[in-house]
Amino acid sequence: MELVCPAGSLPALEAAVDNGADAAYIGFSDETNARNFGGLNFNDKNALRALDRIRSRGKKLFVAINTYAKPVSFSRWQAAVDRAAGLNADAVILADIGLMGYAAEKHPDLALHLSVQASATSAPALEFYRQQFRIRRAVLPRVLSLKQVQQLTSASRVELEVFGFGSLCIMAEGRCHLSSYVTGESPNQNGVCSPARAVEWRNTASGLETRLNDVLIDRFDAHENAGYPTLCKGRFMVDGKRQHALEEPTSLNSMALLPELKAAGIQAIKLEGRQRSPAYVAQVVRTWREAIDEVLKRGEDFSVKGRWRETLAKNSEGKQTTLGAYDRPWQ
Amino acid sequence: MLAVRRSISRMGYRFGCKLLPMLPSWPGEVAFIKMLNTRLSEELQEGLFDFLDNQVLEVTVTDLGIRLRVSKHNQYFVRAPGGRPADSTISANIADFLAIASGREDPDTLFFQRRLCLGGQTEIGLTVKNRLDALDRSRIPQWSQRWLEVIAAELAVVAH
Repeated sequence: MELVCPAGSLPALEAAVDNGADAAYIGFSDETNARNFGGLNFNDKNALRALDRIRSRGKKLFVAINTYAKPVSFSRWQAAVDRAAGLNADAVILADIGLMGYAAEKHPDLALHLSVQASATSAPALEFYRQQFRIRRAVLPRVLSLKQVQQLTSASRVELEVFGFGSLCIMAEGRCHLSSYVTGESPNQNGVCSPARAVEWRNTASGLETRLNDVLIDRFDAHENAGYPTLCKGRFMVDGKRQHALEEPTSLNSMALLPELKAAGIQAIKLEGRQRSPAYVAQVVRTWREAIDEVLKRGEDFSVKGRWRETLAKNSEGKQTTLGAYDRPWQ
Repeated sequence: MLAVRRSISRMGYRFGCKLLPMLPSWPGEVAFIKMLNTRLSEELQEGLFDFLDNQVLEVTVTDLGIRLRVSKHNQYFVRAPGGRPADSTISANIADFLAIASGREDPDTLFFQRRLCLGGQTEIGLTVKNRLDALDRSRIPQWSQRWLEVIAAELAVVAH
């Protein structure tokens, strides 16, 4: 099972490799990737350095170009694919069907991974992408239960990667337009759930308030944990009660399911967090490396160690970690 | 031995908390900005901090009462003009700032736990965080990195 780790900067990439990543995924410094924040990601010079570090350690480098191209600037997304191919990256992670067509035709030797943003949840969908674009791997959306993941692995003819750990969102991957409702920008096309220029944190007498484009989306009491300032995790008045109407700030942690995922034939585990620092990457990657090694050694006798749980809980968004949809019996 | 060290650290920290708020902030600010200009000269040349041009970033070390106001002008960090309100603010206690600087803790983690606070224009604070995360730590002399780690570890115990 391959451990695929996030890197928003060169030091984060080094932290990933030093702590046991099999592969690191990066993005370029623009809206062609879904973590388009100021100061984050790789220009051409740093991407080359990243490749150099990866190659010297015998690991893999993936480039996420996982937003949807705008009709007027499709060439920017094409250029990103060309840059990744020029780098000789081990794969590009794509969501846009037009871009996949371009990559498959222009760079037939470049491995394609279907991004979680493409939201392919069925065997026929995966097969379509394989036949049309020769995708090698698909990252499964986080809406699937464990049983559905197991069914897919037996039917799929491409490698499957699932999310192991990281901030959870409302999980309408590739289809979420919530933030564009208040900011005009969506993660799908602009690469950010909440553009930082539209975010405001303000300390008031009634607590820490966060606003997105002047719309109040949450207010935290003194001892409450804060979350990312996204509309889906805001608290709103519903039926006279202030509550998380859509999603609570929380992090996915599927470590307890590692034996089942391995038995099902999942080829790779992805960790979320290109927006996080090298300190997060080091702690989370080391923890998952140890856990995967333990699963490979012990198989079904595997159990999650207390200190692993503590490290992951500490680095989580929100107060809790959850199995997310993996554990939704109604599915 | 450890108990002696801890008690010296605790005394030093308490002394700092009492004394530093009584001192003027400009000598610290001048030294801080000089250090930034020396350490980040390469990044300044590359334009990686141009987003701070004529903006005021205010860094507050809450427990020590230290307030550092930084701006940028003509390829250099400069002291921000007094009286002008900050465009962006970052505050935390000294232990948490050093935990971030030494790579012990992730800033987002501290932010979720309300130990690191951002105010004003979020984009400036976020970009500063990301630019500092991306710095090549191998350029920091080994001894100074080691000292930072030791002090950060010590303060993580005594300053909470």
